[in-house]
Amino acid sequence: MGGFVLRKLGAALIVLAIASFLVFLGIRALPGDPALALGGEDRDPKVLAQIRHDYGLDQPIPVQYVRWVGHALQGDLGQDQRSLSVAHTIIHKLPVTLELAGLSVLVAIILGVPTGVLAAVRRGKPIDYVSTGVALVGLSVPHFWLGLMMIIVFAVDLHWLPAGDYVSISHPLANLEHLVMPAIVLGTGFSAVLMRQTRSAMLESMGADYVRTARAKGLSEWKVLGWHAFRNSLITVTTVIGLQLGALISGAVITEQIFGIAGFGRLTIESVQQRDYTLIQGIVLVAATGYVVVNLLVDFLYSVLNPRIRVSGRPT
Amino acid sequence: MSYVEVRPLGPAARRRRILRRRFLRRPLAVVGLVVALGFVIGAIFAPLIAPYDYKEADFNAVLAHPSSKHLFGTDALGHDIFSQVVFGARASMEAGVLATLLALAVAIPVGLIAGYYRGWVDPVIARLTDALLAFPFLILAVGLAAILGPSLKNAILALGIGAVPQLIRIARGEALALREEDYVRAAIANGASDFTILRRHILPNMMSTIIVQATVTIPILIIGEATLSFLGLGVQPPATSWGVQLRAAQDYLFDAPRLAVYPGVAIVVATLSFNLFGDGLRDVLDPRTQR
Repeated sequence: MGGFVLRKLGAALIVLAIASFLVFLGIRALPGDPALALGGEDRDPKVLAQIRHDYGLDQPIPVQYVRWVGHALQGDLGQDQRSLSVAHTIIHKLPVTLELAGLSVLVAIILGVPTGVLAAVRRGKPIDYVSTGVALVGLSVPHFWLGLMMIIVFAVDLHWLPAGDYVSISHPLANLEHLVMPAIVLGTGFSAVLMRQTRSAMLESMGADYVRTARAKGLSEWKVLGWHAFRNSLITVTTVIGLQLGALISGAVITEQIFGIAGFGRLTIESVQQRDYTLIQGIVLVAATGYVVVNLLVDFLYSVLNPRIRVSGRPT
Repeated sequence: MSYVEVRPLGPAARRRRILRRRFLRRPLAVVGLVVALGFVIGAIFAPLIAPYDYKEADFNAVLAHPSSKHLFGTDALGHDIFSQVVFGARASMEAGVLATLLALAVAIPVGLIAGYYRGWVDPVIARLTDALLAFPFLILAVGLAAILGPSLKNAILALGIGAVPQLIRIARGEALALREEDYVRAAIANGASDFTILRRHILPNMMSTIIVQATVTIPILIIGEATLSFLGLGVQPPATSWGVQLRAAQDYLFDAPRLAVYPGVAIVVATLSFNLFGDGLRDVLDPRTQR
């Protein structure tokens, strides 16, 4: 187990190092001189040289990279165009998005897992076709359009829910009221993925020898499916939830934009629109780090759930 | 006495016939293929199908309701919405198909080299792919579109680059598995060059997996283009796309919500048709997933 953890940890660190270097290079590849942007109206060469010196822009690229990573490791992601701390801004916005993401995962699990199990158990029956079909439609609906449609129906026509904005969690009811639609919008696409994966994982474990043995022992169908088949397909389901994190962040970007939620996703779009490169750099780095860390956790969880993996690595 | 002449089929032709029959037995997959082709053809012949040009504005009929003159009504600038939706298919199909082809053109050779030669190349490519996969797709595409500047061409480029790592992973996995096949070992023993082995033995055998992956990548990238354009990072007005139309419709959710309906339905039907086709194709080409 120790060797497995170290190997995975090492791979994750390498991936993070490469990812951070790509982010750094990507921002440096942008057209335009950052010193000009920072100098604003002032085009005096002396001032520009001073700015370049202050921000370390006159140093060679590898030196700049090491300095940037060194600062990032200490939680300093630099300052944005308004001279605000990037790390502070991100930390301030992140909880909103994490709450939205958590609620969406909840929606996805509630919708996706039971339907997936049901479709597998009633395979080839009408309920299987209906749920598989609905899942396929769910995969084909863009988040932002679903969001617009829900706003039209539930906010404009029925006045049931607010069309947007975010209320702090210190007002739990209002907070939930504002997050219901965004969580459903973000959760439905995810639930479609989850339903399909749950269905095929269930089908696989239902065809396995241990399920046949359980049936042969004379266990009730309920016990066979619930205790043996479902428990084993949960391994796949856990992994899928972890691996979908990237898609969840992508979805949050657009969902927050539609519903006017001031979270990490909205910040991403704003930073791009304002061409605030220090901010973009910090955001992308944080997103990539989050993805790598969650995947590492999934790997560990997976190896705990399925001991065979520790020896051979995750089958793909 | 009369003979019925039976022409024997070669193995390749026989396999094609079996696959075709298996595919035709899936009505949903066939519908998916027909509708998807319909969108592609509709996009190509948009000027012939649309009753008006997408830029043509009828200022006497602003925000008009659907009528015989304007099938889906008009938008806030008096554009005929039906014509807008028909022309909007062009950007979506271009983005979906071209970006997928672009991604394949990069991913197949890289994946082949990594999976076939292994050695030091493989871990380097694998780690680089992992690093690229660490960026959420939309954040990568938004970031690239921001760097390159907003236009359809750059959106296609950004989406194509965004799709590359996933496809590399798949091509690499296939090459890795096929490399161990007996016919590849036989070819090596016969002294075939690496290029011949890759081109004649490995590439043709991984094509079915690649084709299935391409058909499921296209709808993802169609939605990707719509998303980028919706955010103002893709197609720029006066040029049109479904994303651009939805962006404009966002301002009229209270007054004319139907503006947001038509382009969205077009996106859903287009992506659904590709997804249905892809699902059917996967079942037909990959018997492992048939249950």
